[in-house]
Amino acid sequence: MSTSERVVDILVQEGGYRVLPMPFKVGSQQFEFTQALLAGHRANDLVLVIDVKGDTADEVVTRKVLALTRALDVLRSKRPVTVVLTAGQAHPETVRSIGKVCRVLPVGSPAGPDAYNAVRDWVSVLLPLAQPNAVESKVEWEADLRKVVAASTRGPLMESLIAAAPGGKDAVEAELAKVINDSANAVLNDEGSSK
Amino acid sequence: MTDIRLKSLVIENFRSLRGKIVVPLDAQVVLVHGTNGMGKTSVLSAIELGLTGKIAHLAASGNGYRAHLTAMGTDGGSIALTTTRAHPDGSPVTGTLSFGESRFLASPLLQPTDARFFAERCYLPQATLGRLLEIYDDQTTGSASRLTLFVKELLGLDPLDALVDGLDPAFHVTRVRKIAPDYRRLEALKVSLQVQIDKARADMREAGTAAEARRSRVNASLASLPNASPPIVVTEATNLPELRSSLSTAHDKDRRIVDLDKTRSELRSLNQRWRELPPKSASRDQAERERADQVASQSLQDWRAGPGASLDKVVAVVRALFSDIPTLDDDPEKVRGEALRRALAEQSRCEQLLKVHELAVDRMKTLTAVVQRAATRIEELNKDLSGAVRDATNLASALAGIVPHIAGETCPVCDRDFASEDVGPLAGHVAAKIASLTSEAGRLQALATERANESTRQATAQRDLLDAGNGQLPPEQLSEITVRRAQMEDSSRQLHDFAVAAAQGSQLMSAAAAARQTLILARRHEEISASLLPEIENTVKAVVGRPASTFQAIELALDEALQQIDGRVAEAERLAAQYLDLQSELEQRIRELQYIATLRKELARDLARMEQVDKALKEVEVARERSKRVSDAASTVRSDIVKKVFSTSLNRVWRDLFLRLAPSEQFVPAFKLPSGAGGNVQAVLETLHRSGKPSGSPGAMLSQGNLNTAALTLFLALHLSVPMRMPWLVLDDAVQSMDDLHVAQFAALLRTLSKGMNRQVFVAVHERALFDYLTLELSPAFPGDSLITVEITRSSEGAAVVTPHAFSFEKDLALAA
Repeated sequence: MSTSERVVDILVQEGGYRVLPMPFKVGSQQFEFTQALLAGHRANDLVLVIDVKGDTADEVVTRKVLALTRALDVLRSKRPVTVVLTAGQAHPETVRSIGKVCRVLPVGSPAGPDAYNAVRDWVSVLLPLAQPNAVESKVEWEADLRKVVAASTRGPLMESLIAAAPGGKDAVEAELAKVINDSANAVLNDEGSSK
Repeated sequence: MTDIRLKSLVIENFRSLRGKIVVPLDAQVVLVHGTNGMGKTSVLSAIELGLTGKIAHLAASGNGYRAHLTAMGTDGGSIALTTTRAHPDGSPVTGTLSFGESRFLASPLLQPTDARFFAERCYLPQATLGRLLEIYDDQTTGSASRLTLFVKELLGLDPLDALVDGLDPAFHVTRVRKIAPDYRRLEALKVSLQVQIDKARADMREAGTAAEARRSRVNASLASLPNASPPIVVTEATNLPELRSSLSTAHDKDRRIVDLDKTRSELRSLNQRWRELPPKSASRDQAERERADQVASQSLQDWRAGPGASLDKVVAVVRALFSDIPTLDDDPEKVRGEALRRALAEQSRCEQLLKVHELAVDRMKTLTAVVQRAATRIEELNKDLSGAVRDATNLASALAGIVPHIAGETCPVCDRDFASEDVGPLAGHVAAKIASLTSEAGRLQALATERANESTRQATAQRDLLDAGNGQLPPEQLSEITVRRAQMEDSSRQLHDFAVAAAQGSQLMSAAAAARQTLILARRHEEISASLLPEIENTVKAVVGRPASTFQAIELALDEALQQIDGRVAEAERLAAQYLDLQSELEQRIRELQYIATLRKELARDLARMEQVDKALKEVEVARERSKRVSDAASTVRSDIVKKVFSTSLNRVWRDLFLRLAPSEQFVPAFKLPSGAGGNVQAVLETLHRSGKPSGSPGAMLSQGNLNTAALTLFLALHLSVPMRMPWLVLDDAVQSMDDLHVAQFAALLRTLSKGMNRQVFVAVHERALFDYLTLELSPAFPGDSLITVEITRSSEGAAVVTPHAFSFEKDLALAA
């Protein structure tokens, strides 16, 4: 799978993008890129994927992008344009030139086992943000605690401590003090009655 | 509250915003633009003040900032922030703040806890952005670090914290003592019980030894008792009170010592009486004594008939005058002496009286002569004076007639005392008067003076004559005294002569009396001896066993008897003492055995109690051990949860956000949690290489721009990691020092946040190009999307001018959808 195909795949799969058939028209003008995608999900991004190949002329790429953005401007379109440069390394001057009129992601062609993730990282800005699910504020601390505690420790003392825990540190300390005091008092008060 | 939007903001004279401006806010995204110093930050601060009533990052160092809220040159202002609708919990729709030089009246929209949440999670002031990494990398504040608080707040780990912190005392016995005072008392009880037990054991040993020693002493004493066959032996089983009372009875029945005592006192009394008897004269027997008595009586008789009678006669003469002189029967010599003394005294008294009488007679003779002669001379002088008067004048003659009547200083005419006039004698005065009247004054004066002298002499003699008569005896008394003097002289001479005879008489009389006394005493001795002897005989026989008569002398018999009885009494007393001693020893032993029994009981009680105390202490130990395990478990669970949150949530979100903005950065910042089940969350910042390999801290590994990005994304990650309480997100010029690529990514991220995460985003930017770019990127793409841009400039008068622009959805026709 080439990098450009991977980009398209990620955008379509994770971002709900729609692939535009090539070539496509803006107004009366016709444009052709390696791939072009339109965002769904309440966004109106236009993503152009351009493979930088051995026979690609940087100035042609630049001219095509500038022409497209000019055409959008003329039609008072407010679509944000992102250019994803895949395959070979684009000339820095090209990136700078395109960057003046749109967002440029010079992905290149990452290799190795992390290649997929590298590509995904590059295009993640085009993807919707997943609401993190760490906010389960009701952590099951009590169940977790019971799991960790050894069987020999379980008993009324632990239950009373767990019951006191939501009351705060002082409540727990008071419970501990009560248990100790009760043990002591069982003897101390006995003394009182025997005398 | 999650769908309430901020609607509008009215600001008047706030910081760099002079005058009144109205900022519309009712859009998904609000972009605020203005060049530096125009008041972008002031607008965002006004939002914070309207929501929370304070500026959190300034309030950290006190409320001093409140004095500098007013725009220069104005005297106060206000802020009013309105929301689209009221909060269901009844909060107001509008938050207001009124301020001035000494005025700060805030009525914010949010409650304090929500206000804090907003300040920490929803509002990123420029000032905080630069320090955010430092704040969250702070190692010094320990368990209460910002990160810890964040995690705790996020997860509600308070019960676990409560368990860990609340059970902390279980790890230290000193703290257990502190929280549970009864435990300390229990420990003290154990110590005191141990002391008691040790003491009771020592006391029991000591008392046992003492009781055993006493038992052997008692047995030795019992063996030595008379009439003790077989001897009584005290063993552990002996009924001691019974033995003691039987000994007591035996001792009480023994009356011997009383009888012995009685006999001894009888003997002593007999002995004393015997020794007190007058000694018998061995040389003379009774007849001799009778004869001597007779001879003495006869000699006395003879003396009485002879010299005694004569002496008596003489003494009788004296006694006629002094009846208290005793008779000769008393003591002749003493009587004679007394009579002689009285006679001599009387003789001398009589002689004295006679002498006085003679002197008085002589003096009377002399005085009588003086009186008689003076009278004769006065007669002559009177004749002379009367002759002279006839030749003087009438007055002189009259005065001269008065002169004889002048006696002393009293005037015969007027009876006044002339002496009080103090001008010489009256007679002289009169004579002088006469002399001055007559030519013979001198002679008359001499005559008068002589007459006065003579008259005085006569008066003195007559007075003395009366006195002299006093010493004179009447004739009958004179004769009696004269006779008595002679009589006494005679008696005293005779009595003087009788001295030898009287002495002899006295001697005889005492000799006779002595002889008589000797006779009487001898008779009494005989009588007493006769009565004492039988008694001595009986008593001595009773004591010694043989009659007193078998001894050489009664005294020897008595001595022997006394000696023997003394020995017996001493023996009896010794025995009695031994009985008493035995009883007391038995008494002591009874008490000692009782004491030992008491000690044994107490010891048993203390040991039982000690067992209870040990059990209770063991219980406490078990409770502590379990508490420790619960605490450890809570600690483990807590750190597990924290780790899980960090690795699965916070770090993932952070990484996601960071990579969106800096996709080409090879080092990604992350929180690193120390491994191990340690209690507290102590996260440190690090970077991870894309490959997953840990690397250095962000400060060391990231460029300044990416550090900024790291901070910004950390803030957003924290914002996204907590449940959304309010939809607002306020970012103050967060894109400074980002390069173009990052800015473009940031725009995309903002769009995602506003449209994908339903946040109402407020962003201030100072760069025109960025503002335009963001305006484009954040433009509404679908129906319902909205964007408001606000440009802040300043009028020529210096008042703030707000130019708002609202964008709404316009269908994009450039590309066929």
